[in-house]
Amino acid sequence: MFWAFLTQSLINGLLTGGVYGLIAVGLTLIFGVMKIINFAHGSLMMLGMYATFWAWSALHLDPYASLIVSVPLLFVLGALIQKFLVAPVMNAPEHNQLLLTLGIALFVENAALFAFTADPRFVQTHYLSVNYYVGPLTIKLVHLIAFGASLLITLLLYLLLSRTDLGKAIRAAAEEPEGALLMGIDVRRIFWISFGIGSACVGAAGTLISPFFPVDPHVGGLFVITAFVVVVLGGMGSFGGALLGGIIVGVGESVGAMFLPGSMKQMVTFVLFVLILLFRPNGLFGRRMA
Amino acid sequence: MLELQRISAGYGEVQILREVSLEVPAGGIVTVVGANGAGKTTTIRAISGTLPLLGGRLRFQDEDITAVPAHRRVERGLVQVPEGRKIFAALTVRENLELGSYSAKARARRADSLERVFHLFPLLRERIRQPGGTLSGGEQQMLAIGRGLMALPSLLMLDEPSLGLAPLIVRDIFRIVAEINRTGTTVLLVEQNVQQSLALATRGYVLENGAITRAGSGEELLADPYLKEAYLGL
Repeated sequence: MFWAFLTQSLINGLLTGGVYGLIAVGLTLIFGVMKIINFAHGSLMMLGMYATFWAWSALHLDPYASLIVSVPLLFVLGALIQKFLVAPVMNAPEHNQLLLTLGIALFVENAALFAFTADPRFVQTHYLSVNYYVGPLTIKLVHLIAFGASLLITLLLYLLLSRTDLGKAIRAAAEEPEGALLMGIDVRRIFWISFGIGSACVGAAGTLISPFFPVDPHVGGLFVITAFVVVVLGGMGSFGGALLGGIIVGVGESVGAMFLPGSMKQMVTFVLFVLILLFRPNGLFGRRMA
Repeated sequence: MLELQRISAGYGEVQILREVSLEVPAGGIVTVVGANGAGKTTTIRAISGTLPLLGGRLRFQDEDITAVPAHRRVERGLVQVPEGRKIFAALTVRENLELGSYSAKARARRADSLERVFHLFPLLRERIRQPGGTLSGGEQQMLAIGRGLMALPSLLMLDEPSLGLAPLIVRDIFRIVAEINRTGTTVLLVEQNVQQSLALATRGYVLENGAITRAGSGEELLADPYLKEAYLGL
């Protein structure tokens, strides 16, 4: 009984962890390229969830099909935020950048509160009740799809970064902006594209969890803190680290919930966070900062 | 080919270049020599557009490029190999080179350019899958020059290519710069290594405290008693 319970927790954690990974991949891309910590990441996810909810409730669009809405929408929004709000503070001290992204988060959340009210909304589909049973284990279809799609999107992004000229230009600009500029790469353009891609990732994550997670204006806060832990765990700016870190945190959380009272399950995340900062401040896969 | 007309530039409040004028004729090697802090790197960054001008005008191939952004200057064939190489350490040698041919025009000739670079630097072919950061200093300088060549420069600007390299490798680098020039690329060389860089130059300038103080052919400058005393210690 105990082992079945543990395996179940591991599976749940793994499936959730994939989504955490996708959220963190977006965050780590933005950080890696621009060295900006984007506190608005969670509120962008919330917008992705609302896009899915409204596409479902007003247009009767299948929540998964609404990826074609949430991904481009969040890409454009992220690109605009970078171009008009973040770009002017790119060379400013870090605390100014921090205040800016935090301010954007507050603004977006309160705008959502004003526009959509504080009521939690829920996309209701028949998917939610589909379960697969393997022996004593239950696997929910919605979790499986969220996990699979998150991995697929991360893989696509990996291919973009490693195989295409745009991807190589992004990595070059991340590492050596002036060197990239001297190769004829329009680094300012790379910056808004990267912010757009990072935002599109978290928008996609928002869509993928919508079928099993209600959306309200403050939902992003829950995820963004976890995503920060994941990014630090994986190593700031490390891509594979973000994905694996997501899975580690997901599993840690879910197994922790077995032993801790429900309201304390996030404690595992934070204990993990403190341990990383103490023993591996560069993360599991981070390169040593010069 | 390139003309600086009374260029002033600097960092923030600090003005470094004061009305520098110089000319790079097509086909030659022009060398700008000067001590540390004289404004050599500032000059080359002002030309490549990575540093905004405080005054003056820039002309390249009979067009005013003062307002052209840095990445567009590369497309026009004005290519800088930066001081300290600034190669992409985490990217492989191949990826570094490919990024050199980023503009559409250079991309169309990527395969040819790669062959040309490998012909000049056979070592790079052996290192093609290695991350740029694992190369030695000399190899990194070769990679930086190779990456610059991938952009199909009509004017290649080199900022202190000999910096921090062993004398034998410096000789190699200068030999290759001369070879690049022979195959039709105009070169602007900014160097602290006065002797070897002026020996190569068709025309030379001396930069001191942000202003041009002497100009002439490479031979003339090497024979100049003032230069001999101040820079060559003779």
